[in-house]
Amino acid sequence: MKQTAVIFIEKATPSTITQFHDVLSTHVISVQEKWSFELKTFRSSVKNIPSDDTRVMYSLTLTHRDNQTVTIKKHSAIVTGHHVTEQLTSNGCSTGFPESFDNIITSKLSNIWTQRQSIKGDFGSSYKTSDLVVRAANVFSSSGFKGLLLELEGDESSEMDFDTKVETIQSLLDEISSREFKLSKDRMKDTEPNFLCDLAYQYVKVLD
Amino acid sequence: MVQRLSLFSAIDDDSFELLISTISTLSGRPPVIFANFSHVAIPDPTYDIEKVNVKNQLVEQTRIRIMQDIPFEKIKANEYSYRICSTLTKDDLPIERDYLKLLITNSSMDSRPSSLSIWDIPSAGKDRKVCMQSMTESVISDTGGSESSINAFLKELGYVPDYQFVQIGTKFYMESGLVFQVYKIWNVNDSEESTNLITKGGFLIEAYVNVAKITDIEAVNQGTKQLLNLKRELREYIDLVVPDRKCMDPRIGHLNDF
Repeated sequence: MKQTAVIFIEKATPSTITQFHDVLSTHVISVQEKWSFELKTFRSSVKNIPSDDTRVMYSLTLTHRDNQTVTIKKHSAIVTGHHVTEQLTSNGCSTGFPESFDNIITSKLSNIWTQRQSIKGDFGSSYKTSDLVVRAANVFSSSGFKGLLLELEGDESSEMDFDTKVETIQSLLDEISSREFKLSKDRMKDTEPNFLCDLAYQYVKVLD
Repeated sequence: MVQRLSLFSAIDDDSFELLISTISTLSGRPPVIFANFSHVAIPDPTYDIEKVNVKNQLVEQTRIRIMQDIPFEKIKANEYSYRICSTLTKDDLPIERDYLKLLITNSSMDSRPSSLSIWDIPSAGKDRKVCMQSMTESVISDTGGSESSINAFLKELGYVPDYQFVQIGTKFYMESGLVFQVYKIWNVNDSEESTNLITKGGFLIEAYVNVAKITDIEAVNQGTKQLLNLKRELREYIDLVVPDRKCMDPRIGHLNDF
């Protein structure tokens, strides 16, 4: 199973991404496709929600993961996508024209869920190094620039421990004097890794 | 938003064979057997949900429908052809109860994709020639988290289970997206561990066309024409009609309106 980590540097400037690119460049094997993400935060508008319940729900859409959307609320997550399997359409379970789930929340479920915030990283860069795929993007919200986000994806073929690989990236960040950052390698459930849900969880952890 | 155009009818058990051969001849297509499981959830009745959203738009509370196909290996039968449909006349389903129970409560390890859809009440209007119902849909490919199941997620979303049912039947894919299906419906009662056949003694007939975009008037007209053609061809054999739209109202709390 591929491992991932997400790093968010809040004390960055829009040009930190160029500095990061420069220090990373000696490790880069190839430059890969551009990518974008969008993290939406929803808040429950139900008044009498039990006090032990969380009011917040997140949905993350990643263009580099087939445009799939992960929606997370508390300990549960679902992955929704644009791909319809033959089984579903041929059985009449699906019409074959699915929409992303956050669209449904903002339209049909807006009596229960209100969108609060949208954090976006558009047109980020991806670099392949010998043992990682590093994706970097400047993050914006409606109020402006928020920081720099890095998504690290471990390469299965490389034998080096994932934690060590993450540390090398951390030391690179040190070089460009970005010592303060939030890092998440957490899983939603330790015993049961789920690539996409865990990745989305890491985004939520660092960006929230 | 997808628009579904449909017409409905019903036949008794004895007419099934003849209907299948009629439609086969008419369409030149083979009959295909299908089986689906549907789970319908409603907003938690204990929640105090406003009728309007923050933009002060009226948003009705509607049911959410989760649908998944049932693979044939889960159906206990000697042969897998449309003929098994006429042998299923009892309350018991030829499917293991445990399997159905696990469909929406199991974790992601062995889950298969499901569709999640929200439907509107069919369009009003006296001279509707076909039933027009719009819906939005999303495909759930996986679930995750420490409480990983569709059911757990729906609960977090603010939805609780309402009812579940299984459809087993035969369908024909006719020209240009027209689907003709003949099926029976079993209500799956989770608390009493029982199933009961709602369509006892007969089959429900549904002919439909899906139009990808509600605004695609040309496709809507084309689909309507196809359905009316079919209706005309089957005239004096089965009467395809537009059902009462209130029967297909997925909104909550409107039963007293009628």
